[in-house]
Amino acid sequence: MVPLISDNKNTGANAANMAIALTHHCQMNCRYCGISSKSFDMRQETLYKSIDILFSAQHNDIELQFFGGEPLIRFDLINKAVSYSREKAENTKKEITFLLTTNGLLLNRKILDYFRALRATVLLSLDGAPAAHLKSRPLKNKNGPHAYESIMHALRGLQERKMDFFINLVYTEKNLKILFDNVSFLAANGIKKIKLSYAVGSKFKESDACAVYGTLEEIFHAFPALEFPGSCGENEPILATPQITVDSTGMVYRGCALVLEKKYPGFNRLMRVGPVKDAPDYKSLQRTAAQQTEFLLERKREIPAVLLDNLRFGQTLKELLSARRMRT
Amino acid sequence: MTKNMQGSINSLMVMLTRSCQFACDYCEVALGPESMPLPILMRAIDLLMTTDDERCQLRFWGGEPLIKWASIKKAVDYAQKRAVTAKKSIKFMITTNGYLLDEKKLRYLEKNNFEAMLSFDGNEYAHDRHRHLKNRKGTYTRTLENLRRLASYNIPYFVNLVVTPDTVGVLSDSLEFLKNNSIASVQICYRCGVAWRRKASGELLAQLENFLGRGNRADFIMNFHNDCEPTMLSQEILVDVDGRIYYDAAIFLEKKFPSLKKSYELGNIGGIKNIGRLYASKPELRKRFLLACSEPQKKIFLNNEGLGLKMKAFFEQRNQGSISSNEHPVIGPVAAQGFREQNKILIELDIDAVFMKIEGPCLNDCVFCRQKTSSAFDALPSILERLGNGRGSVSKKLCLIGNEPMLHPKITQILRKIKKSGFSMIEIMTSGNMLADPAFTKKVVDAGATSFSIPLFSNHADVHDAIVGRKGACNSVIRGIENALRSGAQAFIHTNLIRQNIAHCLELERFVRKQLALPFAIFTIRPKTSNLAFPRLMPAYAEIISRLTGVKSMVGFPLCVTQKVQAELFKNENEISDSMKLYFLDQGFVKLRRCSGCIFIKKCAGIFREYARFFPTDEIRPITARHANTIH
Repeated sequence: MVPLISDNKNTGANAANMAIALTHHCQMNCRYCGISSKSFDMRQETLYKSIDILFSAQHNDIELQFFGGEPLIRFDLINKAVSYSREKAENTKKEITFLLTTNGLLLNRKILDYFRALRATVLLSLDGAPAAHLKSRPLKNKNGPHAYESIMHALRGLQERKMDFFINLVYTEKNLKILFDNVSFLAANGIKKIKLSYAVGSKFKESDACAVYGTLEEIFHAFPALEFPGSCGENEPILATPQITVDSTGMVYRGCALVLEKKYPGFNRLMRVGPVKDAPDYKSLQRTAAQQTEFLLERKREIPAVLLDNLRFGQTLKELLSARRMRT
Repeated sequence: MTKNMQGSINSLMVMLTRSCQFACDYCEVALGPESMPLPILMRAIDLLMTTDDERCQLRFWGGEPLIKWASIKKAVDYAQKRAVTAKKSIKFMITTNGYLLDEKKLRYLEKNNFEAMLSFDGNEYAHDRHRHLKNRKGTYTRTLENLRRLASYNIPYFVNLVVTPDTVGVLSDSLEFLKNNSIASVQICYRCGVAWRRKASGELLAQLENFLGRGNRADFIMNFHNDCEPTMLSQEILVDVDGRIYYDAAIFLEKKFPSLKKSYELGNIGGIKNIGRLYASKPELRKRFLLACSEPQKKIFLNNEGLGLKMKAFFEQRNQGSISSNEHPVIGPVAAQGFREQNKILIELDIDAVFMKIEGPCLNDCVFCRQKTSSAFDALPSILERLGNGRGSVSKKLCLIGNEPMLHPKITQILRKIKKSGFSMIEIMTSGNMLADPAFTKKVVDAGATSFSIPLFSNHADVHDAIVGRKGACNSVIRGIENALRSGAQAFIHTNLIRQNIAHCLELERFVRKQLALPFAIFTIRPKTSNLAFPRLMPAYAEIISRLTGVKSMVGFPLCVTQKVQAELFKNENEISDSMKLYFLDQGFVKLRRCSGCIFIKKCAGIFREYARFFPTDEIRPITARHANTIH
């Protein structure tokens, strides 16, 4: 699984959104992913309670993101969540949209058709050309079938169905150099929308922001026909994103703590809000990005140095990228 | 420093003052109120005059030397008089932050043989990040204003751009910015005294590569010509405010390497009789430098020296020739010549046409194109004059090229004149946007246009529009093509194969050949006048082979690559517009040594020099007779 934060594309910034980690199981063993595999899958009552909380928002637009592990491993839960939330949407006269975060391995014809019918957005994790992808996103079962082929198959399925989807391409300080080539590879495969995300927990420091900006700016400039969500630094600093995530255990977190839990359990605790069953409503969970940044800076003594570096890196990157908005 | 073969020294730096308005983050000079007393300054000039060389240069340094304007004037006065008696020619150089450069001072510098080195770090982000006043206020705006002012005088100058690990990401942007501001040349210095991690130093070279890969001329960057790396071992001699003499690095790194002053000190201004004796070789300086270093300092030195050597190798490598001696002749600005001369060159290249370029803007803003002039149109009389010269053309076809020739307000008049001058065929190279207006198209065709050469980058409107930077362009072009055909003109459609449209080329070919029923050519992108570094546009041949197999329209690719993609090696010449033939041939090509075994060596254009520099060339394999038989 990738550390991804919804970019609110479908619903606009005014949507209430929530990511639900249905399971921690995944077929992959991505280098930058720190979700622990020990946890159990989400219980139905926790799932429904989470959706209830999401619908307690004042917003008219609601976005539900299926997250994990690999959420498609628990397609049964997705199905339940969809039925339940559609029913709720009808009763409350709200608009619901779905976002599926997936590694693509289980995206078969049936599932693709299911999500097309839902008009869901699919976020496919793909790190570029085969060599780069297989290096950063290996399978757990090393003798398993060639993962890349099935992901490309899923990709063609998404394209043929003209579904709303985008690629999440994760880079680290190690492969920044070949980022352009990986984007170029995706463009050559007819992909039109790519979200470029650095892996939180990788060794990016504030002083690297300029180099990363240089690389990103070149890519944005060179591929004018591609859409790059977040290219004006909207989601930076990623570490301080206030996105609400309900873990399969029923614990509510803010931001990307979940994908850092293995390596930085202390940070995980810091970002923990409490069990979803005790949450009074959506509003009580909400924070703005600025509030979240402020919160982290206040508690910086409790944050590991690597993450603090990431935070400052993100702040500087935001500053650099936000100038793009004026230009575009 | 300039030194002649004997190792004599003919330039001297003087630390005029240690005071400066700036408080740049990376400056390692210990700033303070001290200035050089006039007697010491004069002694320094006396010392310079002891050089064996007939020419010499006095270099004002600081702090900010312009703060001591009166001293500069007195020194210049004295030095000029001393030069006359010593029978030497003297020049001056000033290193300045530019903050105090006004018209009066510039006039003085111009009059007195000054060269100027102005410190400016590129774009606003890079500059203001480190070059600020003591109150941390940025200095970008005023410095840029004064830099522009400096550039307008007849003073040789260059910009000294300091790049640091945290501004390295915008280096190519900065260079581009300076170039766009008509700055004559730039000296790139990496920040010394801090460790450059591998990522940062790699980025530095990548940024340079990127800038040069856009077809920017190398002579813009001074590092190509001067042998200054590693800068920490600079052999320059400097007189400090108190009259002590050092090698340059002892002062410009004094805060980081304070012990270097002792190791690099050469004595007092009074004690030196001949400046030539102060010469030291770089290995000797290196030895002295290392002796003065503590262990951590040594690490920094070795790191910076390593980066300096990498830079040196980078520039040296790019100064050398290509991998092959087999150069295709570059035909250069053919269109600038008279028609008769053009005929002579072009007939040999199988182009039975002459060309006329019309200066002016373009409607498109293509991602790969750097010829984005906003210049005014050529005036009608100058066009007619050039046309008048061309009555003697053997060829009866004239191609109008330029950004968008049809934007010229007098286009119909021009076309009628061309027709009258005896050209029976007129081809216009156009983006095709303007042909969307049927009345305009009819007017142009009636005036004499017989064919149009039009690019199309994808049949997906959003992709084409994004690549050419114009909304609605794709639909206009397709309507335009229909209008041109309806008016009785021919249309040649081509695309440039780039990373940005490789996903769509197969489909585009089908669209043009089947749906529009028109000739179509897929050209390789050329490095010349490209807006992005070549490898950012050009797909590798391996990728082209894997994605384009089955097309029929490739032109201008090496024939060994072409044969892996399409059955026909040579395209029907009638399917290619003459404008595009010229566009393609107007390049530098190389052939690899292994190409000498290829039966098509004469017919193949070869590969662009830039391709060989950036990509592996495994796909380039000679075609032998045996292979060729299997193709046809």
